[in-house]
Amino acid sequence: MLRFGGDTFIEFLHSLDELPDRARLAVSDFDLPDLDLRDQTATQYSLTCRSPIAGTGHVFIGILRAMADDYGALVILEHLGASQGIETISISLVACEFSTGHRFDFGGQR
Amino acid sequence: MTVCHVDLIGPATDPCNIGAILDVLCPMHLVLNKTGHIIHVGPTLIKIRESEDWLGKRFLEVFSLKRPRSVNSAQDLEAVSGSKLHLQLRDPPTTNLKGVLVLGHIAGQLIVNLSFGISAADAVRDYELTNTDFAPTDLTIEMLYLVEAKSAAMKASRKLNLRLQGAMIAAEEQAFTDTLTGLKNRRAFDMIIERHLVAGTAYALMQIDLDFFKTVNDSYGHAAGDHVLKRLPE
Repeated sequence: MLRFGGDTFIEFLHSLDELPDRARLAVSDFDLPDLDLRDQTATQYSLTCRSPIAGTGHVFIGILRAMADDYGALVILEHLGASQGIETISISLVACEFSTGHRFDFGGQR
Repeated sequence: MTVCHVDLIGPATDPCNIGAILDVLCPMHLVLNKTGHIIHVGPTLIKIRESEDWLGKRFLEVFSLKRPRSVNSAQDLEAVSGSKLHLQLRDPPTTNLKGVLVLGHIAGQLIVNLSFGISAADAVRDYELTNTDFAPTDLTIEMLYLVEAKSAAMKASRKLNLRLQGAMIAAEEQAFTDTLTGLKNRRAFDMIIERHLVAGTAYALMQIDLDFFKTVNDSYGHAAGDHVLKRLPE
């Protein structure tokens, strides 16, 4: 499902903002944390997630790590801490096409 | 009105370069000259067929027009401008396409825009298309996402339904069974008799009475009584 966010890991990162809306389209009562991606440079990003559940940032680090692997990108992820219910993750993109990643078919599996 | 006399070979003769604009806005478009020959194709179409399969061919030689059926020649094409077209590629894979045709800004030119319509998922799979093959404003990828999301949600829901149905059958079975003897209870009896009465089928009813059972309970205790009741159906 997350691979529909884009063709590359960078495109996927930029699709994270709309992830809560996407999830709601699929399952109407599925509330994801509010996500906000900021790009500092072409390889340096930060993602903030606002959620009533503490530790959500760590869950998203896990998701980003798995997705980076799926796209074949090499990233360094770091949890920068939380303040007032907002957790920040730093994403450093080392290589976009580090490995071949997993094949993904936008048309779904036959 | 002035009529531009261009040789209609390709979009290079068009100062506006409409082809390049349409490549971005409608990557599945075709430009036809006045004889109905294809002179330009959008990038996504080139991905599904080599460009030599398009350029210089007659539009109606590449596509069969399913609807409207009135179109048999290049001259008929103009008449259907603005209306919805149902097309099919003649060469395999014979993908179905929806389209619309408009008159170009150069006299005699026709511009056709195509879409996969409802068979988008099959086409995206067959031709290994990605989100970059659709215009950023095109909702095809969103639709494919929804198809996947809905089928995942349906799968989970179906699994849950099966589990609930199993639990319901077990609960029903329990409700009709006497816990001590494992025999059908009064509720089951009522239901079975009712079924026979409604259907009018023949049935036999035998009543068995257990004499002196109270003395078993009184002299050997209720545990012994339970044991007798458990052995009785055997």
